[in-house]
This record gives sequence, C-alpha cells and structure tokens, in this order.
Amino acid sequence: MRVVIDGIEVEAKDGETILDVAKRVGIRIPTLCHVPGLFREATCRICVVELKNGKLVPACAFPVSDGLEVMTATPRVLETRRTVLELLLAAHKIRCQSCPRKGSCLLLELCKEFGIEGIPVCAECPLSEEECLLARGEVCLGPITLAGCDAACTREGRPCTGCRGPVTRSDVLQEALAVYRKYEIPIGKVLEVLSTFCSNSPAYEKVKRFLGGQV
Amino acid sequence: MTGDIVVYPVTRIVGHAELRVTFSDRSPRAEFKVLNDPRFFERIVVGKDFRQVPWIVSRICGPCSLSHTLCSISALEAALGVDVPEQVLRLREAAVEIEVAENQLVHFALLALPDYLGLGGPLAMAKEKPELMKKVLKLRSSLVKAAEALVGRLTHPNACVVGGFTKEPLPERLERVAKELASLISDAEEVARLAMNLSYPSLSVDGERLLVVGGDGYAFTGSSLILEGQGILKPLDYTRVLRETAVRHSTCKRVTAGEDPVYVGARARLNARGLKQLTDRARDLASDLKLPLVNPYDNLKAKAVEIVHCIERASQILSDLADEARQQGLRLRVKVEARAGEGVGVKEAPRGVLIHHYVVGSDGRIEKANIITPTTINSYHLEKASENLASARGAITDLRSELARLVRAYDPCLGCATHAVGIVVEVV
Repeated sequence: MRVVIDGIEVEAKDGETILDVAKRVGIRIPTLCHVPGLFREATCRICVVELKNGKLVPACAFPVSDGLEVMTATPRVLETRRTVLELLLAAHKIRCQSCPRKGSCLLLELCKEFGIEGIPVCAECPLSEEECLLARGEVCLGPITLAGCDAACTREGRPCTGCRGPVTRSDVLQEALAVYRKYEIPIGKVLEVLSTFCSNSPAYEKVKRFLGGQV
Repeated sequence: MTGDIVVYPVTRIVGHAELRVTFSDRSPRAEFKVLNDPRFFERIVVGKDFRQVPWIVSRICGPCSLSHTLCSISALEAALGVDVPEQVLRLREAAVEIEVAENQLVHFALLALPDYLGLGGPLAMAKEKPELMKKVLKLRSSLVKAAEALVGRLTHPNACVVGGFTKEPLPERLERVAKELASLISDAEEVARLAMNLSYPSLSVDGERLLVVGGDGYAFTGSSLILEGQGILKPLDYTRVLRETAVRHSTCKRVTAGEDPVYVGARARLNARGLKQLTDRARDLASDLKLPLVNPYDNLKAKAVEIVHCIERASQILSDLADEARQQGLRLRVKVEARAGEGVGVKEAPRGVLIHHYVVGSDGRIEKANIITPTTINSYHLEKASENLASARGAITDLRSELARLVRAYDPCLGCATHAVGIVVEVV
C-alpha cells in the first residue's frame, strides 16, 4: 500500500503506524510515552499529526491504510504540540535537582524546541525546604524566574533577583502565589525586586497583573 | 603629509571608540568623541532599595563588575554606618586582587601585546605563538575559577552583599584556592616578563597628578584617597578636589584636579606605592623599572607587574584566612538596618580609582547617586597625551596606529565610562 507523508510517497506494510513509516523516510515526529515494542497507549499526544481530512491523530498508534495522506508539521500540529507540552508541564512537579535525570531529559528538550520556558529557578535550586531563603523571610524570586542559570545566586545563599525575567505561565504563577502566601512574603516586595531587571517588558506587566490582581 | 587619516573603530579595547586629533596652525588638539548614549546608571538606582544597588551597578561593566559591586557595597556600608569585620575586608581584597590580575592579564597579553610582537591581534597570536596563547588562556581560566570559589562568579558576583558575604567559604576551599594561585605565579611571571623590554615612543604629560586609593601596602581597597599635591583625603573630599565638567564634544564628563589632568591605574599605583610594597616575585620582576614612571605607555609594564603581585598577594591573604578559619572560624556577615546617611566608597578597580557616592533616605532608598569610573578620570589625560604624541611625531603616516597603541596602553573600558571612543586624525 502507499501512503503520503509530508508530500513524500512511501510504500507501507499492513500493521505499521504513521510513526513507523515516518521514521523510515527520516521524518522526525517527537515522542515521549512511546516505547517501541511495548504498548500503544498514545497517552502523551506529543506525536500528534494531521490527516488530510483535518483530523489530528497520534502518530505512534494510528495504523496506516492505503492512500493515507499525513502532514507532520502544520501550524495546527505545532500549536497542538505546544498545548500538549503545557498541559504535561502543568501536571509535572519540576524538581530537576531531585530527579535522577538532573535536568537533561526529553521533556525539557522539547520545551526548549517549542519555546516553552515555563520552568522556574526553584526547579534548579539545590536548597532544601529547610534552607529555602523564602522560609528565612528573604524576598527570593526563584518561584517566578526563568530557570537556566543553574540557580547561581541561591546556590551562593543570595536570593534570586529575577535577572533572567519572569515565567509567565499561569499555573507556575499560581503556584508561586501559594508559595509566597505560605511564607508571608508581601507581593509588593516581590514585584519591586522583579522591576529591577525587567520593568519595561510585557512579561513584567503580565506577572504584575496576575500576582497583583489576586492579592 | 596632507589629508585625513580615519581609523574607525579602535580595535582591541573594551568597547567602541573614536578619538579625533585635529592639526591646525598651532598645536594639535585631541578630542574624545562619544558615540554611545549615556547609560543613566546614576538615575536608575535612585528610588531603589539599597540592597538592590550592588546588583544593578554590577552591570555597568562586565570585566570589572566585582569592583563595581564591592565599591557600591563599601559606599552603602559607609552610608548605613555598618562596620564589617576585618576578615570580610581581607577576603574582599583577595577577591579584587584576583579580578585585577585577570583583567591585567587579558588586557596586556591579548589586547596590547600583539602590537609589540608585530601581530595583527590575538587570533594571529594564537596562530604564531600557540604556546604563549595557551599559557595565557590557562592562566585566565584558573583565575576565573579561583574568583568563582570566593564570590560565586566573577561577572556579576552573587556572594557579595551589603554587610559581608552570603556564605562562609570552608577552610579547605580557601586553602585550595591559595595553593592554586601560588602554582600560577611562575607562568604569570613568564608572561609578565614580556612587558619588561617593550619599546615605545617617549612621551610625558606635563602637570599630571596621580590619584590612588590609600591603604595598607599595595592595597586595592581602602578608605581614603591620595591625590598628588593634596596628600591624603577623606573619600567625600573627592567632590572638593576633583572637578567634573560636561564637555561639548562628549557625553563623558571631563575630570580634572583644578586644571590639571589626573591619571589613575596601574602606573599611578606603582608610582604611588613604590617597589617596596610589591610582593617578592613582583619586585624581582620590576627591579629594572625606574620610578616614577612618567610615560603613559609604561602603564603596560605596571600592569604586567600587577599580574604577578596580585596573584601572589591574594594567595597569601587566602592562606592566612584559611588558617584563621580553621582555628576560630570566620565572621563574614553582619546585620544591616536601613537608615538615612551618605557614603562614599573608593577602591582601585583594574583600571584605576573607582568612586561610588550614595545618599540613602531613612527608608533605605537611594536618593542621590554619583559614580566616577577610572576611564572617565583618565580620558582627559589621554587627550593630553595624544596631543603631545601628535605634536612630537607630526602628522606622519603611522600616527594613526601609534595613537591606537596609546589608547590601548590606557586600557579604556568604555562600558564603564558608558561611552565610546574611535580614532580620527584630521590634518587641516
């Protein structure tokens, strides 16, 4: 049977999935939950592709049929993958330091690829809950600042100053708000420190609206 | 020779630059032209909490951000009436010395030296003299690692705060850094020796006055200023003895003492302190130098001497601190409360005297700030020296490259001065 993937005509066998065929012709479809030879549960949905009839289907579980036309990188597909990643992150406690993969994992790589910078410095911070600077009453911006610096400041015992700019994902901000309330850190102080390095950015405005509006 | 010589930009300096020398019937006139917009740091910090200031002003300069951080911290400590333990001051001194060594090494070996080896730049040097290049880069990387062990990171240090250090380094760590530094001295000496027989035109600037920070021995941190002809001054006296004026051709202010050009930096430090204050290995290296050094180009030799001196001295300080830490522990942090006050911090940055001046309100917010950087102080002296060089040499063909070498000998840091300099020689 013949199928068409991104305009390339491919000979396919019965029982193969879209992912199998795409792999054979060198078209990369990202996967997370898929492990070859195990289940075909299609739970993570990161491998979503678009059929000619406009349907979005998981490539790892969808069997090919004769004349099937698949597109793997349409705007709709990419947007959906972004949403999938955001949903995955929302349910995922990002504590890279206590994770065996220590911050080098497929999920983070995909986040980078899709431009999702939703991970706060707290994820990289080596301080334990007892050592947490917030617990000592210091205004630390770890919960709302973009990770990637390997928590350079908190590692040295100085509160995070937000120099990398804030995370704007609502679920992270929601969690941050809870953390600041727990340690009774005034939001006004947090916003003041945040304004040091990014007071003119749209991201700052968003965080200000979010944190300020809910206090 | 007739016509204009335009070199733009001056290469191998920190930042972009334009210097214009105009030949008219009388003596040549030199002007720094600033191309960049001012960066307004003095305004940015106004209204900010004092704890935020060191993080902000650290961004003035990449190469010497530790100097800006520590200078603002000492100004704020003076303003808030904080007495930091003596051990804090010594650890800061050691950290600054590592920073100075790193800066002088990079400037001397990578930016200035290629001129005198007849090479086009550091890339050509890497090709022609790979062994030297490797040595320099290895030294630099070791110095950066040593600084990181003390202050977190060398660019935008994060372990320094008003009141001391956030973290107490373990005695083992101090000892390790001290040993590492000691092991670098021979290599540093070898690189620095290259400076001792450089040849350049003889040049001097009349009426020049040196400005350094007063302190014990060959210190880079201190609490007073020494201006030639005025003696020892309180830091706040800088407002009285130094005159800052705006000039039409530049957004960088002109700093003078009365009418006289002031010079700061390695040459000023070596002239003020003399060979006796140097460490043993540095003194050996500098034994052939005739003090005072009057030629602005001699700054390169003084810089080379400082590479060795700083590494050796930092190593001594750290091994002393390691012993103390093992015996009775270090006290590296005091509590700081907001209160109204005014304070001036002075310190020797790699390129010379750095002055930070803050007025703090009772709520701990900054009301007024003034920052004078070494390049700002040196730029008028550089203009004078360029004029002298131009009138001595005339409008010769290689004046352009000679002027560029002169600018490099000053090692202007234009990020610090928040301004830019290129060279344009005009023959009118």
